[in-house]
Amino acid sequence: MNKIQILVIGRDADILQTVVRLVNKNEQWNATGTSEDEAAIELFHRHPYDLVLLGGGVENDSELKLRRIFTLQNPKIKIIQHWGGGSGLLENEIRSALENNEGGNFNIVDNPFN
Amino acid sequence: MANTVLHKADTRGDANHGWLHSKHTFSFANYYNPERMHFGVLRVLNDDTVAGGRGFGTHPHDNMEIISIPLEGDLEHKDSMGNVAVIKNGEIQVMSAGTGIQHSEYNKSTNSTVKFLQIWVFPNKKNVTPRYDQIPLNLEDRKNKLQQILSPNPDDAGVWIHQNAWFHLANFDKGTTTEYQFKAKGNGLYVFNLKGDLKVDNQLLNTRDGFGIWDTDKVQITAETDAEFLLMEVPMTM
Repeated sequence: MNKIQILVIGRDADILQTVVRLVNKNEQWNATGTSEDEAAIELFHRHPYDLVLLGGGVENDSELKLRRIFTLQNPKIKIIQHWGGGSGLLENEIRSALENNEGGNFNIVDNPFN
Repeated sequence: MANTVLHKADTRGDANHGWLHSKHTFSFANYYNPERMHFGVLRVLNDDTVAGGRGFGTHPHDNMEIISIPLEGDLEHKDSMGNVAVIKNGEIQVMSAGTGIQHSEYNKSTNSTVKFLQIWVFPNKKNVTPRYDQIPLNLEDRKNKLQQILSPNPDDAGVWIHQNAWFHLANFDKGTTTEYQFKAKGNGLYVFNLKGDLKVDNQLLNTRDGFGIWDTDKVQITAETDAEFLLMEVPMTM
């Protein structure tokens, strides 16, 4: 079975490494991490990712740029802010994003009454 | 007309890992319910019991306000900012994860359980500098009255967070009643009943029930028995 491909972008190298390790604990998911925007764009260009996780420290300008480039290349790509949280919230947010079919800029707080 | 949502205690997610028994009011870890994702900016309300000597290994957080309230026992905390602390029943701990932190939490005791609430709130600012704080609370200040334990203001009572939120704890004798006035327009109130029977407006809450109410500016709270409870007023939108 093909694994869900996940690109993780975060500025803190230690946290990025931990998040990638935690995501990869799920046998159905395969995460790749990078702290650089240009490396993220290059990776996204070369690999068919299903989900992009944006971590802490990614500046608003960078986030807007990455969202624009990724959605231009793949309008169905799901891009979410992740909040960390070990195997707890992180896994839950990924599952939630993967089950949401809207793609692009999905964020659960867009509709807090759900 | 106020809107409400009732979360009965026995409808919460139940995760028993042996060393950790956690009740999730909202979706968390393997408990995933699209109808139970959050109440406004309140994303996580976990009611945790951790066995002696066990705990949560080092893990990351980003852009989240994390509040821990010990109910029984002592919890040992270490984080990537260099903080090493023990939080006890009667204290409250807050972390602003901001650009990112890593931390661990363990039961300080090797032979007795620790019980605590883990509460995560989405912040109103992204990428703030990570921050840690911990303060003692005077238990007498919640006897038959509301004790503010959290606000958005560093100069106000309790800890503060990057969000337009106010938390109160209370320990009411049977028959005690109070009116809670919302602090900010557009906020909702989530009541988590820790112990006893409580009436919020006309809704009866039993131990560990949760009740959210919004589109109103005040609620009436009455202890039907001796009762302890937590009030969390939070914005309903980001």
